[in-house]
Amino acid sequence: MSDAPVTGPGAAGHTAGRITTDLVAATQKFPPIAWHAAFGFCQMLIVVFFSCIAMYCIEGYGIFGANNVVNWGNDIASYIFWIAVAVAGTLVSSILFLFRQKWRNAVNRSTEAMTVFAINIAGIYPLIHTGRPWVDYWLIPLPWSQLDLWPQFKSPIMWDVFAITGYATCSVLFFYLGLLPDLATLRDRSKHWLQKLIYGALCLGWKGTASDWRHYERAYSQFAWIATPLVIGMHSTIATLLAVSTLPGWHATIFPPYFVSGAIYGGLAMAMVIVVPMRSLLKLEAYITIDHLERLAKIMIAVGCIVGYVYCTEAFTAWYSESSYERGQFLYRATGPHAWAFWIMVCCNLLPVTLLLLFRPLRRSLGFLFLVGLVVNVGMWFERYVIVALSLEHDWLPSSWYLYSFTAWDYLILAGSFGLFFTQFLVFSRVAPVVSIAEIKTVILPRPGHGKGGHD
Amino acid sequence: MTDPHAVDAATHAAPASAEAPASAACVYGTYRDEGAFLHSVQSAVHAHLTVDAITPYPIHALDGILGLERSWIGRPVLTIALFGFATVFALIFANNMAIWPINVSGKPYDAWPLFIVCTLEAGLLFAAISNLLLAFHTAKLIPNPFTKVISERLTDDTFAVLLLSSDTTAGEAWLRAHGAESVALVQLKPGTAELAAELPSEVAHA
Repeated sequence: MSDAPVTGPGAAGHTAGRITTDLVAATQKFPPIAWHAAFGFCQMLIVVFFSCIAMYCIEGYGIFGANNVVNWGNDIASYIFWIAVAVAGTLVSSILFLFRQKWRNAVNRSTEAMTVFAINIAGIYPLIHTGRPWVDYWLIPLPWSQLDLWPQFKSPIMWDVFAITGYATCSVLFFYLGLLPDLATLRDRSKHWLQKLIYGALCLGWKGTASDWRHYERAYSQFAWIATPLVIGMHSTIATLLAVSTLPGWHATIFPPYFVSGAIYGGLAMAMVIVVPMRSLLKLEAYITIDHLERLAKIMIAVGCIVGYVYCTEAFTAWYSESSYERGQFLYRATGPHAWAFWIMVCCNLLPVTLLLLFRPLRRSLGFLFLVGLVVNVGMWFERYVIVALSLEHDWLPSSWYLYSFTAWDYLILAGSFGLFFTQFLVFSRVAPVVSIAEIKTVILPRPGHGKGGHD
Repeated sequence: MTDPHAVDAATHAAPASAEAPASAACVYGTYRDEGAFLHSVQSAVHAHLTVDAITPYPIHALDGILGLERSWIGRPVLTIALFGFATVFALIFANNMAIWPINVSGKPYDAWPLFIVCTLEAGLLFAAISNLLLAFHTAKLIPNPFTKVISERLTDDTFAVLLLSSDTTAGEAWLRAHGAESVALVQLKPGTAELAAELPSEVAHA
């Protein structure tokens, strides 16, 4: 992919002052009606989400559809889905940074925010899943917390606890570090004393001396180096959690790369769902251009091909392994009573991206990209549902086969989680610039003696 | 309004004298044009003046002009990460061997490959936290909502060249001669690099 900066249609006329004004505007102006409508709807879903959790705490885990056969149902499928959304944020913020892809500056702030918001939702699900969330602190290796009992470090469940905790913490710190110079800009642009006070405290007295930038950029770069193995390790760990079991449908060595590529794929789709409307809502067309979105779409095509390859490999392995259990599991998914979920997964994940996005006019159509984002998100959620629930439905013993179904609470908590995610993003878009002001200036502004975008 | 740290930075980034003179003052000139700003910094360095610069976004060329070496925070972070790996591995190992030995599917107590994931994740977490704290430390970042700034446009579209000099008149003249759009003066506390008086809240732009 070209290293040349991708700038907006009015890039030639950009000045530092205008960039600041444009990007800070969303935090200072009264938000548009569409923002209020979306916020109100998402608030309603948040009420639903926390009502579900309250009911769960009162009634117990039995309100959900999971039982002692399909003991990992909606909660674990949704957990993996939200973790995957977070992974793509790190791809854009860290991995593309390490590859010196300057165009990432247009979307990296949004995707970093997406990471932080998605991972805190993902973290709620396993805490619910334990059944007794009030003793979830037992997962932390504290010598005084569990009557001398310790977590079992040989268990992949424990690996997962470490992976998620480490990744979530690192993501939040990385996000905050990236925000610092922009928080200082907001401090200096704020008119209200309270805003000035809050941004002043949050930016930690950022000055912007040459020495500060030198240390800041080194720290930012190191965060990218730290976050990259962390995110790949984290999602591989979740995959390993399934792969180390002997259950047909889970016991596959391809799972770690399968999960990582699927996570990037689903996360990029979520980025499309967020960025496309936000770009219009906040009038950021000059900063998040069609070119940027097209590049994200191209990455989706590449990763979508890997996901398609994995689907084929699963089918091939089921046939070639000559394991009747593996074959039985694959046939159950494709032809069983829940085959509709399998085919939704295949159709939503492969058809729109690998076929339709190959056409340039479609890749450059905002409406189509948004639609693809929605469709792939549906497909990716069903992928986790198929992996988690359908495998457990059809294990070794016919006597334990069971048809898993959602209860009303499953539907409600799933819908509520989307409300929580989008609420966080809507609030974020009002309190901080969704495009990194300092970073975008280094790319867009003409540099003395270098033409446009003189920074490496 | 003033930011003591902003002026304090002039004492440690300079290629010339690193100590603030007895009754030192800081003179700063602002620029809207990046090229003129860089030229001014370069001239100040060539003239062996004690200089620092404030910019709204990173300019890599400044490091070379000011003679700033690569940030030193890499090795401490690596060291802390390695310490994190060793500590977490030792704790897990001790936990499995002595504190809570439990037979899991016949695996040996010291099945060290199974400890790698937690070790790796926790070590990277050590690295991430130390990286952030070191970045805060090196840039003297502390939560202070009452921080005063030289100019509110220095995080927007304006660049500043700061000169630490006992001869402020000469400093002002020098900055004006090198294209500064506005020049202002700050008195420093005797013998220190701390500001004694406040600057105007806004730099008057030409």
